[in-house]
Amino acid sequence: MVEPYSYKKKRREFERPPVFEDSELKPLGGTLSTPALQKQYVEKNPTHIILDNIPPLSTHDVNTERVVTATRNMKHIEGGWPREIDYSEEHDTTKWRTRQLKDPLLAAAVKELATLTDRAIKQNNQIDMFEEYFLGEQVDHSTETLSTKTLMLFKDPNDTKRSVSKIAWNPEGPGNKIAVAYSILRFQQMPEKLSTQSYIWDMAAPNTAFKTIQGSTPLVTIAFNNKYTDFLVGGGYNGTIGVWDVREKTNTPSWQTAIEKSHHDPVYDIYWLHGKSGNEFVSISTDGRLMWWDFRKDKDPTDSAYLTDGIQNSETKQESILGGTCLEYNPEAGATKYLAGTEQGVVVLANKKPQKAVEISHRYGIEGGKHHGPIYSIQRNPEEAKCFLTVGDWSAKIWSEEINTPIMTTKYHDTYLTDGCWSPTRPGVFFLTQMDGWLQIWDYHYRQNEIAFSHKVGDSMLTVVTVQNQPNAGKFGSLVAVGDSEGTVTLIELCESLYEPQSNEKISIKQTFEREFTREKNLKQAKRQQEGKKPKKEETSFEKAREKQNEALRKLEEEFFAKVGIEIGEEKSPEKSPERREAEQDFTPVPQKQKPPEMVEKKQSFKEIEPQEVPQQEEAQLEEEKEMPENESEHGEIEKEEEQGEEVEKEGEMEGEQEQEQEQEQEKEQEQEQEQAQDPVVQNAEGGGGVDGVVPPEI
Amino acid sequence: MRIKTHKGVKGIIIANYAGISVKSSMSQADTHKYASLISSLTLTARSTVKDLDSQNDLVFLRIRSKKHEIMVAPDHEYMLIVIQNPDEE
Repeated sequence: MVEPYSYKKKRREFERPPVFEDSELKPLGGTLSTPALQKQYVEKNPTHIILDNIPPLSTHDVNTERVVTATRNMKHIEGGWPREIDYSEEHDTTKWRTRQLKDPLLAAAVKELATLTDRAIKQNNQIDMFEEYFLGEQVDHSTETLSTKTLMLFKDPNDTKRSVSKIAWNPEGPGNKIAVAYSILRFQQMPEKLSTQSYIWDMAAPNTAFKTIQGSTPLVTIAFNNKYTDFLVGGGYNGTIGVWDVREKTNTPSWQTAIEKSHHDPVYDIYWLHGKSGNEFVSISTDGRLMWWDFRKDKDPTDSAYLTDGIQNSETKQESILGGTCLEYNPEAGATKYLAGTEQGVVVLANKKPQKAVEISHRYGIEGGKHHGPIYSIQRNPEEAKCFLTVGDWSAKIWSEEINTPIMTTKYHDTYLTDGCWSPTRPGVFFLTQMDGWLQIWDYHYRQNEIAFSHKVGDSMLTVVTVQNQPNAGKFGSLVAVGDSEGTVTLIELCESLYEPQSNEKISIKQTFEREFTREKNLKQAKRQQEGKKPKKEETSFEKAREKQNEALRKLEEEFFAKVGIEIGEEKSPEKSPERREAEQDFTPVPQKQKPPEMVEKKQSFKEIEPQEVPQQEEAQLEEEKEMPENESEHGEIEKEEEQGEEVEKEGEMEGEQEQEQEQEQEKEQEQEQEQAQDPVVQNAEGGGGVDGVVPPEI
Repeated sequence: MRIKTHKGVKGIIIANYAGISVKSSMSQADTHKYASLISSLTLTARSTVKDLDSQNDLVFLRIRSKKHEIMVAPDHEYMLIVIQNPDEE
């Protein structure tokens, strides 16, 4: 029997697939309306009905349970024995082994492989292929292009954005925590409900702060204690200072100063002292004071000192006070020395010896070279502690402790500089932040007249920069924290050449500083020498000028009296002569310098005639005096003044009575000559004849 | 064997692809470990080479570690494993 063959196929698959196309609309049929039924219906106008032949669809989201995967290894202990042999039976395994050994294939294979391996072994013995070639060499980065990379940002979580006023790295261990102080320092722009919190951030979690520090006032500065890194000191906007313990759960300070005893202005900088106890710190503020505190003791300052500018104000007999804006304390440079930068652009060095009062030993910049505005940052060079860097107005200056003027200055930047610091690992590198959001890196080892590298951190003004001094993944000094006026702290990683110390860098930077220091010193000496040549002349002329001024007053008084009619007798003439002489010495500034050579001649010629002529001259002068006020008094006075002025010029060089007499004579001669000039008729001999023939002046 | 006499050679193993050692100069425990682990590694290496280029085949495999160098010479059926201390010069 033939079995029937059957196969199945869907109807849909038979024949050609249907092809549908649009056709004209034609009514296929319809029913007429029955008016009887119409009453049961309500007319609805208009109506829209849409018909479609699409299957209804809907979307669904399904999330299956996550499959947990894990990686596991298998430890293969026992190899893949053939099925028939039980590997736990040693007898079986050895039997199998011996059987295998007899396999000729094995012998041939081993031979071949042995030669191969032999070669490799010999190679190994010959050369160490994986030898380290460049182990001991130092990398020379000077030709590399510099680069910096932004690692992460820490944003201020509050709504009103405060600017970052200080960043401090935790000095302990793997440095990955930073304390940031926030405040608004613009004058009178603090909104009332400004948050007074500051934060400690951990680099591992940049989204939420590690710890919050709560004070009664926004903190302007913050610092970790070097010994006990759990203690933080913060200086506030209202002048108070608080100490926080990071381990505590409450965020309020464990110690706080009383507001009456604190600073009167925001505390701009605080440094922990490196004493034995580790409990002391010093603070500075624009109220002009340095205050020392011990937070284990009571809430009063242990000591305080004023930053004075060293110039005695002649009226109050006191020195004016400078407002302090930044502080530097480095035990390497001297455990008693404190460098303070001020609002006036001057740097002050204070010395605080134990059991003694604080004294200001040096002031830098008073004579010249000071900043044109407040100094925003001051820091000693980590390698060369005698030199320090100050940042203010548009430039950064490097000073040496021994000289009052800066030894090196950078060129003027295009915007204000707001902060700066040295790199802790490379002595020739320092960082500056600008008001337009740029971070400038200077490398004095490489080039001193140009910025080595610029990095734009953001659009808002940068306010703080600090470099980490602790190892981060084995690299010292590779992280830079920059804060800006919106409250964002940016962490920037430097390329290797910017933090790895170059060979000879320390020596060459030291030499550079030495060289500049010597140059400044020599310049100063040269200046002093120049000034040393002229001190006497200038001094005596100055004194004489003063005397002459006083005498001018007296002389005017005399003339006045003479005008008014109070006559002075001829008997008094000898008395008067000294007065006159003094009067003649009046330093009335007269531009005329025409007659000196003639006068000199006459002086000489008059020497013989002196004693006799003096009284006559005086008389004549008296007469002239009397006559003058009657006639053209003004003219006479002017003449007199002119004469006196001329004489005075000469008097500046001469001293002694004889000279004075000669001057008198000269004066008389001047009068006579002037008379001559005015009255050409009256001719007086140039020799001694003029004395007798004194003719009254023009009438 | 002659290979043993070379400088620095710690031991040799002859194993098959299943991971069973046929002949060895080291202790049992060590031999087991080496044979099983290295045979599986050699298989993977061979298949990698073959995958990359089907005409290619694995000739020699060298694993250099801090302490010694493991050299494997694979064959069709068997493999020769040598452990050497290359720094002993």
